[in-house]
Amino acid sequence: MTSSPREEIPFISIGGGLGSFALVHRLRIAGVPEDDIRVISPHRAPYERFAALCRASGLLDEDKLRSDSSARMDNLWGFPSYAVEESWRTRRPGPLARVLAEPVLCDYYTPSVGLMRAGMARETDRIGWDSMLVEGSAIKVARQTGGGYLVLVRRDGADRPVAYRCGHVHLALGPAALQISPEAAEFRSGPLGGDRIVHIYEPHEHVHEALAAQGGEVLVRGTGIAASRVLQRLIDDREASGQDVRIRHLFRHYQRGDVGPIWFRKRGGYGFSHQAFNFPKAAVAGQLRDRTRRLAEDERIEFVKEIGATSTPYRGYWASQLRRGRDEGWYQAVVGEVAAFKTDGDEVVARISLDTGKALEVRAGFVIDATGVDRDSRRHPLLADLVADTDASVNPLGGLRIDEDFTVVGAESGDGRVFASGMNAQGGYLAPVDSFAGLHSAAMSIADALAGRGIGHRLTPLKSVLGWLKWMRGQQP
Amino acid sequence: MTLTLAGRLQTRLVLLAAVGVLWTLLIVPALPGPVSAAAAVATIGVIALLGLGWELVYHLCQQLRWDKDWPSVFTLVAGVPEAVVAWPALVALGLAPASVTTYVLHFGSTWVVIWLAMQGPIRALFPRWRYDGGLFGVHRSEGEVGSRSETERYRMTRRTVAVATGIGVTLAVVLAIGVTVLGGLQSPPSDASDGAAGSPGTAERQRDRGDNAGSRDSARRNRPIPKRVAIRAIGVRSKLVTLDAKKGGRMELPRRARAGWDTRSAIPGRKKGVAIIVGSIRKSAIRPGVFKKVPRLEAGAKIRVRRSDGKKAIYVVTGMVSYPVDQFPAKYIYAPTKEPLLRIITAGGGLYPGNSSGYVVVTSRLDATR
Repeated sequence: MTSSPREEIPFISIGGGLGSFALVHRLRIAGVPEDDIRVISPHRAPYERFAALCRASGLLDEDKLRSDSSARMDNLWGFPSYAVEESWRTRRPGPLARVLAEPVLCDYYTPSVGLMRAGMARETDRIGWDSMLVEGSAIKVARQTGGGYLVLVRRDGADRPVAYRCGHVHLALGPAALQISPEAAEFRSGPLGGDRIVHIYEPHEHVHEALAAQGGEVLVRGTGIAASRVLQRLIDDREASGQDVRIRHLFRHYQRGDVGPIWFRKRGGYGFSHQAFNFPKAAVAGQLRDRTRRLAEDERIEFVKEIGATSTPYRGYWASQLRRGRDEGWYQAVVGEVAAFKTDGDEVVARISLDTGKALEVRAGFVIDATGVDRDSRRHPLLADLVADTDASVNPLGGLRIDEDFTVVGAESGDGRVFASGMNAQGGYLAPVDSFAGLHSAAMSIADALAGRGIGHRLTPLKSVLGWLKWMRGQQP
Repeated sequence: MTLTLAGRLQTRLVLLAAVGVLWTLLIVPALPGPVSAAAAVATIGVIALLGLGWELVYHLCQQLRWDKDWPSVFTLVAGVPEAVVAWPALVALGLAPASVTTYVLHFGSTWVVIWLAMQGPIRALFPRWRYDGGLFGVHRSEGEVGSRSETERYRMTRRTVAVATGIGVTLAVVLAIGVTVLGGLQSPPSDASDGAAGSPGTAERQRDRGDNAGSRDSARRNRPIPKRVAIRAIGVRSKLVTLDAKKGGRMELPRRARAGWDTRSAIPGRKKGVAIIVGSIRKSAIRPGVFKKVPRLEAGAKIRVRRSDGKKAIYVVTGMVSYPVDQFPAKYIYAPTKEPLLRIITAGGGLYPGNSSGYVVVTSRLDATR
C-alpha cells in the first residue's frame, strides 16, 4: 500500500486528547513501557484542545469547571481529590469543607481550569507522554491480514505518510466539528461572514469588546453550561462598562419549573434545566450506570438522552444576574427556533418561529451560538472510513457501536481489537462517556481488556498501591 | 462515588470485616472500663447485620434524589441513628459494654475510620471499586475479556443483591423481634440469682402492678400504703407500685423507670421495722433505671415517701453498700429491726461505672412523719 517506513507497536491511541491520556495514564501505571505505546495527535499536550475550548468559551484559569472533586483527570484513583489538593495548596479548609456539604448545603465543589491544567502538566511529564507522542494526523486504520492493524499517519511537516503496524488501536478523537446550524452556516458564507454569528467554542473576543464599547443587542442560542457562562460574561461586562447590552436568549424548550415524578425530579426554572453535572452522579458508577448497562440500544439511547439532556448547574450568582436582567428588561427569553438569518446593514436579523406558532424578527448586533459540538463520529474521515471498510457501525447518537469493554464491534482483526472512548463511544453502556470520570472508567475497562491480551497488567491491590505511591512522590511509573 | 445497592452491601461488609475489626482490636485496650475484645468484635458483627437493613433504607432515601447519591457527610452522620438503634440490640444480646461512653467511643471511632477509608485509601487499593458502584468482587477472567461477559456479571450482581437483601431483611426482622421480646425482660442474664427467699431476684416475667391493684390490696388489708417516693438530692420522683412475693419466694420487679414497695416489708412511717423499696439502677441511655443516680447519694440526704392516707414519711440516708449478685445478704437486709428504717434496694448494677450487675442497698432512718 505504501513504501513508507514501518514501525511495529503493540498499541496505538489515536486522538491525543483527554481520552488518550486517561488510557495511557492507566497503562503506564500498570507497567506498560513507553516503547509499547504510541499516541497520534495533532497536539503537543493532551490538555491542549480542552484548554483551547475553555479559553474560547471564556473560561479563565480561575474559573470553575463542571466536574466532581474526585473525578481527577491526572489521577485515576481520584485520591487525593481536587478539593484536597486545593485546600492543601491554598492552606484554606474551604474547598474541603465544601466537598463535605455538597450538594445539599451548598453548590457542588468544582475544580478550576488552572488546577486541572497544572495537574495534567505534571502527570504528562511523569508518564513520559512526549516520548510516546507522534505529532501528526492519523489518516487511515486498516486491518492487516493475519491480525492487527496498520495505521497510516501523516506526520507534521512530512511529505509521505508513515505506516505503523500495531496490535490494537484506541480511538478517542473527540468532536469533529462545532455544531453550526444550516441557517447560521448560510449566513456565515455571506458578506458579514463569521464575525456576527459566532460559535461559543470559536475565539470571539471581538464580540465582547464591541458590546463593552458601545452596547447593543445580542442573541444567545443554547441553554447548556456554555450558554450560562457566556451570559455571565455578557452581564459582567455590561455592569463593568455601564453600556446598554441587551440580551435576547433563545430557548428551544422552556422549562418552567421542576419536572418529573418525585423519585426522578429534575430541577429547573426560567427555561433552564438544572443539573450539577452533564449526567447525574449515579450514571458514572451507580444504579443509573447499571441501568444503561442492562438496556438494549434503543431504550438505552432514550434513557441517555433523558438523563443527559442539556442542562446547566444552578449557581446563585447566575440566578441573581438573570433576575436583575428580567426585572430591568435587558434580559429577555424567547422560545422558538431560528428559521433564517438575514443581513440588514451591519446587523443580523433572525427570523424566529415562536413556539406559539407566530413569527418574530429579532435584530441583533451579534449572535452567539452555544448549542454545542457535532457529536457524529462519521464527521471524522478516519472513522467514516473505518465504518465503510469494516463491520463497525454508528449508533443513533453518533458514537461507534461498542460492547461493554469499549471494543468497537465489527472492527476486530484476528486477535487485534479497536477500542473507542470519549465522545466516539457515546450511546454505549456508559452514559457520561466524555466526562473526566467517564474517561477513566472507560480507560479502566479497556486496560483490563488489553491486559487480557497481553498488554500490561490488571491493577491488583498491590500494583495499585505501589503505583499510587509513585504518583504521590512524583516518580516515573 | 456513587454506590449501587449491591455495592453498598459489599462495601459495608468488607469494610466492617477488615477495617472495623482491625480497628476494634487496636482500640479495645484503650477503651474505658472492662471491655472484652470478643464482645467488641461481636458488636461490629451486629452493626454489620443491622447495616444490611440500613443500606436498604439509605438506598430508598436516595431514590428521592435526582443524582441517586448524597453528600459524603450524610454517610458520616448516618452513624448516629445506627448507633442508637444498635444499642438496644446489643443490650438484649448481652453485648453492650457497661457504660455508654465506652460504646460511643468504640462505635464512633470505628465509624469515622471506616468513613475516612471510603474517602480515598480504599480507592488506592481497589481502583475499580468506585467505577463498579462499590463492588469488590468483580471477577474478570482472561477468557471473558472482550465478550459480553459484563451482562452476565450484572445478572450475577442482581442475584447477589436479591440474596443479600433477603438475608439482611430476615436478619433485621429477627433481630428486631428478638430485641422487642428480650427488651421486655428487664434484668440482664447476670442478674439471675439463686432465687433465695426474699431476695429481689429475676422473675421469669415482670409485670407492672397498676395502682388499681394496689388500692384493692389496701382496701382488703385496710391500711395505708406508700404511693410515691422522692429523693430531691438526686432528682428521683416516682410512683410506687406494690410488689408481692411470688411462688418460690421470688419477688416481682417493677419496670425500670418505676420504684416499688415490697408489701411484706413495713409500711413507711411506722415506728419500727424495715420498709423496702426496690428499683433499677441501670445506666442505659435509652431506658435508664429509676435509681440510676443512686451512686451519687450522700449520707444525710432525705428520702420522702408519701402514703395513701396523705401522710409523708421523711428518712435520712445513713449508709450505702453494694453486693455482688451471689453475696446478697437477704436475711440481714430483711430482718426486723427496732429502729424505723427504710432500705432502697437497687438491682442491675453496682456503684462504679462498668459494674453492670449486683445490688446496692441504701439504708435510711426515719426522721419525721407528717
